[in-house]
Order: sequence, then C-alpha cells, then structure tokens
Amino acid sequence: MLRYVPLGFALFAAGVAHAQNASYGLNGATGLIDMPTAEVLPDGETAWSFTRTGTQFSSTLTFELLPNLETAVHFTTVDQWIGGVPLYDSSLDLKYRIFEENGAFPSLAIGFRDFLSNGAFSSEYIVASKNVGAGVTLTGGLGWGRLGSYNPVAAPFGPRAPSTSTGIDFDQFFKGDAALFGGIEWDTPLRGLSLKAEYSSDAYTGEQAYSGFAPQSPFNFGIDYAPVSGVSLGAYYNYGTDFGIRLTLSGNPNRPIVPPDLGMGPVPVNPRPAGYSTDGSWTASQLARDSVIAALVPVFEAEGIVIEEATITPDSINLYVQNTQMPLTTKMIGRIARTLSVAMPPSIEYFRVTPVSGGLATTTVEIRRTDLEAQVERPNAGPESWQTTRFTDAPDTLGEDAWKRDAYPDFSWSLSPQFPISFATGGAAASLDLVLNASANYRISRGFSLTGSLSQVLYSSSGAAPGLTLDRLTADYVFKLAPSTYGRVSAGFLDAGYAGVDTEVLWKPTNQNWGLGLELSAVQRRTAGDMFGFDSYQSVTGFGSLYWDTGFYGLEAQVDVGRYLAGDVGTTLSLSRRFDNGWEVSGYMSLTDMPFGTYGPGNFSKGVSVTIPLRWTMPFETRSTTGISLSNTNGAGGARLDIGNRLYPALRDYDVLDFNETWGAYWQ
Amino acid sequence: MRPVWIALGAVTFLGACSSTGTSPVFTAIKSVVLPSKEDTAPTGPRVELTRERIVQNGLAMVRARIEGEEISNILSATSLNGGYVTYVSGFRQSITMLGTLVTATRGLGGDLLSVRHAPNDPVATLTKPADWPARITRDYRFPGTGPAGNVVTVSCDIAAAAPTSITIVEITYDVTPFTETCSGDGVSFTNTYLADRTGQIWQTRQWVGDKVGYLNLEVLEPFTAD
Repeated sequence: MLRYVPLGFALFAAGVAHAQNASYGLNGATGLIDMPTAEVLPDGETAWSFTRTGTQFSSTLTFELLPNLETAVHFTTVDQWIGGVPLYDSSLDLKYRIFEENGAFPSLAIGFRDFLSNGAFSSEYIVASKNVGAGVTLTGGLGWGRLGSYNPVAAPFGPRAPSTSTGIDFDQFFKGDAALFGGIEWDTPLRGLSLKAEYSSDAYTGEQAYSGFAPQSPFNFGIDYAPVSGVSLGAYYNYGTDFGIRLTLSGNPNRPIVPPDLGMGPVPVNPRPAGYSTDGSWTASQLARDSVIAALVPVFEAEGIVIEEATITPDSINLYVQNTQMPLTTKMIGRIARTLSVAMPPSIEYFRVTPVSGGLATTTVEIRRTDLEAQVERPNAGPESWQTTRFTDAPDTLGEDAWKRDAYPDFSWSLSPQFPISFATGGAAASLDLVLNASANYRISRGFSLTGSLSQVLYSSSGAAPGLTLDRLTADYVFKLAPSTYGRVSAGFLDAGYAGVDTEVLWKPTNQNWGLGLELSAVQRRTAGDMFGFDSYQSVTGFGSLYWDTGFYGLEAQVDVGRYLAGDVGTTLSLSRRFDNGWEVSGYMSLTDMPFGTYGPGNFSKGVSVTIPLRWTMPFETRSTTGISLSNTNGAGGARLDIGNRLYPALRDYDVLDFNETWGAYWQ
Repeated sequence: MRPVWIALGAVTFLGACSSTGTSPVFTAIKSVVLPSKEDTAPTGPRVELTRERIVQNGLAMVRARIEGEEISNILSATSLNGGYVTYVSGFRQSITMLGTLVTATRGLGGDLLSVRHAPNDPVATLTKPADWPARITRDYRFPGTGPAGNVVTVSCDIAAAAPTSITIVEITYDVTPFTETCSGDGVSFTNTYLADRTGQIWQTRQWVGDKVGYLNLEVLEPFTAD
C-alpha cells in the first residue's frame, strides 16, 4: 500500500512559506510540462506534488539534495497498462545542473528519469535553458529512452535493449533513439502567473499500446499559477486530447516561516569578581548541595530542562538533564552554562552537562567556567569555546550518591488526529481517512517504561469500516553496557503486524562519526483485524547496521544487512540529509534475495520521508516534529519491524560531530 | 509585521518559578535570570519615560526599536564582559554593545552572534568627530553550521553631514551625523550615527543582520566604567 503517515499540517505550513517560485512540470520536478528544463531548485528546497492526467495519477517528492543536484521520487499509478490493469510504479529521477546561466551562456543540465530501473519511464536527457528577457525562458534538449521515442533524429550511441524494469542498467544510459524537445515559458507580468508551451519528444508508446490512448499532437500547453509563494497550481492541455492538473506545496529548511531565535534570550554572564573565593568546603554538606540543586530545578524547568541526576564537588557540578523544549541541544547546554555561571558559588570551576535522550545518558560536555567568562560576547566566542570544551562518553549514571529526580513513576500521554491518504493500489479506491491516535507512556524509571499506542479510524472516504488498531504495546528497557555502548530490550506488541521480543545493541563513541548496531528479534505475526490475535507465522530476524554521519552537507548514511521478516536476506541502504534546524529528507531502498516475481511491486522496497520541525513554523521553542512519508510496502520482501524506539535515532543528535555542526547555538 | 519584543513564555517562566522562591540561591538567580514584575506584562497605563526616572534607575539604558516596528523597548545594562555591555529588556531579549556598536542581539528573531571591529572603529571606541576615519572594516557573525557560523565581512565608507541637534528624553544634544555605507559578502547596508563633540553617539541606526534588519537605538544613559 502506498500511503502517507502522518499527514500533518506542516507541509501546508511549509507551502505558505516565502519560497521562490520554481517552475514545476507535470511530473512534479522542475520543468516545462512533460519535458525537463535546465532549472533546478534552490538548495534544500522540498516540494510535494500531486498530479492527475487522463492516463495517470502521481505523487512526487522533489528535493534539492545538494546544490545543483535535484532528486525526485515519483509514485505513479498508470490507469491502464499491460493486460488492461493499472501500473504501480515508483521511480527516482536525478538532475544535475552542470552550468548555471551566465551572461550569454545558457544553463545546462543532465538528467536521468527512472534512474533505478530500465522501466516504463526510463530516459536520459541533456537540456539547456536561457532567459532571453521580458520573463521569457527558452529550453531545448536531446532525450533518450522514453524522451527519445517521438520523431527520433538518430541513435548516436547504439541501440537500447528493451525495457525490463528489473533493475539498474547502466549500460543502457543514452542508448537508443535520441529525439529533440524544447519549449518556452513566459513569466507574465501578473504576479505568480506563467504560461508554457512545449514540443514533446515522448511518444507515450506504452499508453498507446495498453490503454488505447492516442496522442494527436506533440505540442503541450500549460498555465502555472502561484497564488502565494510555496504553493503552485498547474493546468495543462496535452497531446491535443488530454487535460492535466498539478498541485505543488514546497518549503525550504533555510527559510523558516517564523523568524528564528524569537523569544527570550540567554542569561547574561558576569565574570566572577577578582580574588573570588575558591573555598569549596561548603560542598561537604549534603544539605547545602541538595539545596543548590533544588533551587536550580525550577529555573531550568522554566526553559524545558529537567534535571535527572546531579552531583556537586568542591570544584564542579555535574548534571544529567533532559531537554524537552529546545530544538538544539547545544543551545540548551549554553543556557545551562550561563545560568550556572550566575548561580554557582565562585569555587565551582567546571560545569559538566550530560543530555539524556530516551532515558540514556549520552555525551558529557565539560565547560570550564574561566573559559566561559573569557569568551562570552567576544568576537571569536564560537570557535574558541569549541576548542576549550571537552566531550566524553557519559557513564550510565552519576552513581548511588547522586541527587536524583524524584519523579518516577511518570505518566505521559498524547492524543493526535492524523489524516492518512491511501492511494489506489491493488484494486482499492484511493481514500482519505481521519484517524485518531492515542499514545501513552508509563516510565517506571529512567530506563524502564511501558508504552502503548492505539489508532481509531473515525472516517474513511472509501467507506471502509472504522476499526481500532493496537499499534504498539511494549515494555522497554534501555541501558548502557559501557560509556559508548547502548542497549535496548523491547517486548510485547512491537508494531501493528508483529509481537515478540526485540533486542538491540549500539556501539557509538561520541568522538566517532560512525557506529555499529546489532538487532535481533523473535516475533509472531498478529492477525489482521484482531487486536490480540495471532496467526501461525513466526520469524526470527536480525540485522547488523553501520551508521555513518558523513559531515558533508548534513548527509547521513545507514546500511543494514540481515534477515527480514519473510525470511529473505538482503540489504537496506538509507540516505538522509539533515539540516541544523531539524529538517530531514530521507530515502531508503531494500534489495533482498527474494525473487522479483514474489517480491511485490517495484521489485525492491523503497520509500521517502520528510520531517519538519514545528519550531520552523511556530514562534516558540519546541522539539516536536511532523512529517510525511511515502513508501511501497505491498510486498513481503524487505519488510522489517516498525520499532518506535530504535537506539540510533534517539542518540544521533548527541555526538561530537552533531554538536560541532550546531555549536553556534551554544551562545544563543 | 514581525512580532517583536514578545512576552511569549514570560508568564510561564514566572509561573514555574513563583512557587519556590524562598531559597537564597534561587533568589540570587531570580534577581538576574527573571525579569522583575515591573518589567513584564504591563497591566496598567504605560508610564511616561522621564529624565528623572532614568536617573533614578541608576543603570545605563538604551531605547531600541526594530525598524518597521512601532513599539520601542527600554533595555538596561545587566552585564559587562571585557567592555561588552549587555542590555536586557523586560522580556529578556538582549542587545550587547561595545561603545555604541551593536555586537550581538538575542531573541529578536535572528540572532547576531558577535562582531569583530577594527581598532580605529569610532563606533566601538569613543572618537571625536574630527578623528573619525573615512573607511573601516567589520566582521559580523551569524548562526550557521559549525562553531564559526556564518561570517559576513564588510568594508564601510564613513561620511559626515552638517551638524544638527536632537532631543532625547528632555536633553538636547548638538551632534554630527555620520553615514556609514557598508558592503561585502553579498550584503550592503547603511548605518547612521549622531555623535556629539566628544564622540559619544546618542542616536544610531545599525544593521544587525538580514533577518532583523536595522535597529534604531537611543542612548538614554550611557555606560560608564564606574
């Protein structure tokens, strides 16, 4: 099933941001109508498009992965294909702009459509675009594959093998007939309105063969209108016979809707007076220590910082803290240090702060008070403070004698509406549902908790019967085997499909930009429609994982190798780009030894998701996020447990590399 | 219109702390960390600012307004670090200044982290109008990836205009207007300063970044080392 989960309002919020007016084609990527242009999106720009033509419906996530490199993932349903049945296709497009327009020279781009398979949409192209003034842009290009199928001019690099749609076939790139395409776009004086016309080099061969579709003309015409920046509508008259429409919502992590940094500033720091006392004998008193910590608790809580554990020595204070509010951990660390510089007696020279995430102590950040006083407000405070701050893997606890938060057991819950969209797949009608999700967490100690999650379908446009789903009911225990080694055990109803036991170990030293994980689980499949029922299928799955934060444009990679739920063995490769403010766009693909014939649509699993921090849209501090994900999960091949509390996602924001990237917030 | 000088969070902040205000340490923290009741969420008619009130306050004070906004705010000097004076509003938004050069802002909607100035910068160092240089350079540092953030280096041409006079809360100053035209690293802006014969700047318009734009400042009571 292809679906969005959850559909929050954030993408719409993203849509009303002041994005630049990119020109999108009918397939959701930058382009004319069916033909591409040499234009690419601004770096980080993220757009979600929904398009409908007489022959197909598609949803596309377009993302500027790196400057000049545009990616687009399409999930397309062609109404009639071989045998008169629909074709469900997911495909990846890449476009790289080689030259940006400069003076008399046009911009030039090279592109690949349906890059990962030699399938129905596979094509390659080289295209140039030039703004000739008065808002007019001319585009011309040469296409291969599907884009070389109408009125080809030559086959300069030899013949092309028939499309197989079974995998990447690098040998076929730029092979076969090549055809010319081109077009014109006029950005009219009416704000947001542009007109387009193009000559298409696509013969729509498959549609003609399988659905009786008969294009009458290679010329297509369109109107694009952006009523507000970030929202784009398109209407098109294509092939002399057909109409198409498009809606695109876009946003950019680099252009937040609300001004960043709006709110209360940090506590001003004043240096200790000359000749201050270094006498720390007061710390010998348990009462004095506890009084100081008790006084800090409400001050920090006002900024969403919860002290879990604390110790005070004659020259240091050590805090284990939870950050419930600030999107950036480094900002929290800076604010704690500033407050301590005001609150602590002069003898306290070292501030050691350890963020706790998901119940686990992460990295201890040691700040020398003398350095803080010497650096604050100075021009080079950022780089200098990074040089003088120490980072070490934290022990699991500060010890038996430490002050500990007296708040367990702790109960929390949430209730949130969701609006999943199901696509027309497998003969089912497309539907929009209203789902109410209720989650609760009962934390017995910092590392041990019970978690449950229920979903109730309140309304389904397809008329499906409302039903209550138990998404998760687990007992979870997290712990540290060593300062750089984390562990987790979860048992119960692990996800909507399986129940059992799932265990995980992660080795991830804070000073290292990579980590290794091992996950093992023994599960039994749950019966669909029966909340506590099981069928006879059992499985043991296990994965070894490599996590790598490249440090390059926020790109992170993950490779999982192991045995999937259906018993197939293979690999999942995940790639994500994370922005400092929490935006994340990610994609994955799994390839296993399951034969393509039984794997399910697409022959291998793939999916994309966008995570948007609410701080990007809201004028107050919050760590909440929302987002959209889309994947093909029809087949059994490549299926994994949907574990809600895997270790690496909970810990990846707390290592030295991540702190380095966001260290500017330390002084905010 | 950009919402600025907001009270957002102040009520929560006070509420969370009000039930535990008996500890000496807490009281010490609160005196610095928390805005006083008089500074927050005005409940009555706005009190007119007079010179007498400024003097009674006994602190260095500035009045600031983001260009394009109607409301100005008064900020009082709260900390001193190596010549850098941080002025804080009732809502704990802050401006840090070296001399009259704004070197940092916090909470206004786009932080300026720090500014590196040249030794002959007349805005950072008290300089008589006759001695103002014709050209200076500065580095503005904004949040960005990595500890160094994004650094914007600009060169500025300074020009003086005919002397004039201004009145700030009952006191009239004879001042020389200076215009500072800056550009570099993809930005350009124009700052203005009104300096008296000693070089003390009483009124200024300064660029503090793309997101906030310009700050208009009046010095109500200048900071002095004593």
